[in-house]
Amino acid sequence: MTSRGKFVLYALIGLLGGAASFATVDLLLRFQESFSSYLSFNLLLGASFGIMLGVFLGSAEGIVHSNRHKVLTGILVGVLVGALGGILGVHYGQSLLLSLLSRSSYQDSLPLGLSLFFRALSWSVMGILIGMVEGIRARSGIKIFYGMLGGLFGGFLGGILLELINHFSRSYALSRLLGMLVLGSLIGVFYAILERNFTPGVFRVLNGSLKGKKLALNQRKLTVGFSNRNDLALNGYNGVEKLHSVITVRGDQVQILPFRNAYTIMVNDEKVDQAVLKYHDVIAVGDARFLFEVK
Amino acid sequence: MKKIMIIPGLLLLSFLLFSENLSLSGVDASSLLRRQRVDLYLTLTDDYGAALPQTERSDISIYESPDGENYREILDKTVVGDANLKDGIQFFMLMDNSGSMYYDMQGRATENEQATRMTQAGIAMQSFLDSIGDSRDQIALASFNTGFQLLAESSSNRGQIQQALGQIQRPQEDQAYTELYAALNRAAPLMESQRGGRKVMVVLSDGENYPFFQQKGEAHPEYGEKIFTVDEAIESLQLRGITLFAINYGTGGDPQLSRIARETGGSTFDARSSSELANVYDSIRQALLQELKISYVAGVYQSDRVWVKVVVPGDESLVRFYFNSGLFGSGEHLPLLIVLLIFLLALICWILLILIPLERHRKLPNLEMVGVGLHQRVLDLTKDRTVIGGSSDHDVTIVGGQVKDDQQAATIIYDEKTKNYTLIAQETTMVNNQEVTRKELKTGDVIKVGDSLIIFDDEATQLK
Repeated sequence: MTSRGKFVLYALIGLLGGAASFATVDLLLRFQESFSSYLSFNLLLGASFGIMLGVFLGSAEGIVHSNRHKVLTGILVGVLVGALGGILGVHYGQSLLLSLLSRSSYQDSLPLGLSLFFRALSWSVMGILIGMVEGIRARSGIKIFYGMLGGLFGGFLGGILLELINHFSRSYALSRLLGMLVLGSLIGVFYAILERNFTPGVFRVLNGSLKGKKLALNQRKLTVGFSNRNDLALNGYNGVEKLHSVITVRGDQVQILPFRNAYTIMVNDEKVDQAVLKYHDVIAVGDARFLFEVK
Repeated sequence: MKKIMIIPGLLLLSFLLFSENLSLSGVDASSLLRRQRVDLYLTLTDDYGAALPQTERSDISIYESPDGENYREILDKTVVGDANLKDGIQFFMLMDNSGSMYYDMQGRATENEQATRMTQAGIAMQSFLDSIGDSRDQIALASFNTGFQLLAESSSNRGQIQQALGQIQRPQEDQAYTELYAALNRAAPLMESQRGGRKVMVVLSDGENYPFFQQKGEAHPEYGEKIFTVDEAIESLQLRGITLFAINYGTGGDPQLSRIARETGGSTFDARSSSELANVYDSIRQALLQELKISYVAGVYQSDRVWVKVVVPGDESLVRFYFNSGLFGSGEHLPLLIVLLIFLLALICWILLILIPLERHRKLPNLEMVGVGLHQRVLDLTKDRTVIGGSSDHDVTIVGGQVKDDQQAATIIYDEKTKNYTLIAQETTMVNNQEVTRKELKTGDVIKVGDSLIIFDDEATQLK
């Protein structure tokens, strides 16, 4: 898949997550007045909203790499982290919004600029906490950071859209949908930006069922093997061990070594104990072959 | 403007008469999200200005409305009469230190230090500090003239304030202007970081706002050509929930101070001696201690604002509102069917993305070019001989790098008997980063010609 294709795919998954979380939020809002307190309502609202967005965003990398196990673990982590991020995001976002509004000295009608700013700021807080989901799943600091950036920008823009459209249409119905689509898709876009611009390279699979797949080296440590728990899970390749090799990334230096000495790794058709990779090296793990290339 | 009586009791009475029977100085909804509670601060007095007895406080009714029209009564409420005593009051004492504060109380120049307004104000402040005793009140102290000086940060240490009072120095000529509105703007943000509770600023001044730039015609050393306005001062105080009490000291005072005080829920006093000033300080505190705090359990609404109506015996009522905007907006919804369709559509598309393989496998052996131009290209190997070279007549054209025009770099030959492809290099060609002249290719081999990479894929043949 091309970088552009990945870009679109991440954005699409985020967009779908935004749509699903919009529907969840919209359904819950219909029952808001049945709740006895804002706390209980916001807990449920935040958890539901976060779970929806977390599930979609958590599955993104698994979908991009056609790794069902990664999709599944992404969904599970998305549920847990999304629920927590959603609860905290909605609570702190809502608290900030009310705090800003109550501190404003405008008693009749708030100027549009100020209401846009307040809404954008509070959505940014919510977006930052939701955006961390995929980074936590991948246990990657830089992914957390980029997810947060995506949440910040997505939240800011989504909040502005919500307030702006509501201002002119006097209806939150459509503005809520558009705001959440923007939030979800921008978080996805930032995942793609991270993959494209802030990794030292990618492993392109050259043969077998995963031919054409690209694994972005966006974590300090990645594993390769036939087990689905690996970052690059090589199902259907001969001669691949459960956990066959480990790739470490230190800045621009990428090193590969076998998990056990008995396991074979070939670099450019030669057996190696370990190797610091350079671009265009061809690596073989069992029958599987990869090209280390520029992202 | 009312005159201050010497007897403290009467003085308190005059203050309360000035206020309405019912005044609502604040609606605090900061606990709404966590505890579902809203606090109202109000002053309730009888026709003579005296605080209502405890029994009559239970007759206060609270109503809430999400639209300002349809109200429902709140039954779960508590009325606390001594909330400010329990929580303590945050005082910010702002003292004028302009040149005129070193005149005597009648506005005449004097050599007698003890007779100056500043010395007398210090005595009154000392008396106020003594009267507060060891209550939970916190006090900060600042002075202003041309500039603004924070003398003591908010503290319950009375000795610290006494010490800070001693630091006030008579100003030089250029420092003797009265930047009153600027001082209010400078002081208000300093109260922002203080802990919760009632925030009150008490400003003492003996003259009108007298800005440096406006009067002297030179840029102010800190504010430049900016002239602070009354509206800015009001907004700055309101923004932080600070009530201003203003004291016109001696013979002068600023005519706009009463407006600032009124719009922030406070009041204005005159004081012509240290004893009157001490009484004013005391009466301000006593009035604050009489404020009622009504806490109630609020309803849950889908509206941007919620209106609160307070009704007291005699049907006197006041209406205020607090903000209630939901993070996701409130009110309107798309039709339920459309919302469900959006959800289902998102879910189906997502599941399809998971299930459908995103990479297409080709049915014929092929060469995939990487890094040639902007787009990747794939060439299916349908011929027995495939020539890679620099000419557009070649099957694979390499542009740039070390491959010259019309130069044939390598040929891939298909052997029908062995079903294998072999690369024969005419020029320097690498396969898997190893220089080769002839090599039997297998799937995943990476051919490098010039600067271009070509991936060989024979998987389709192998599968057959």
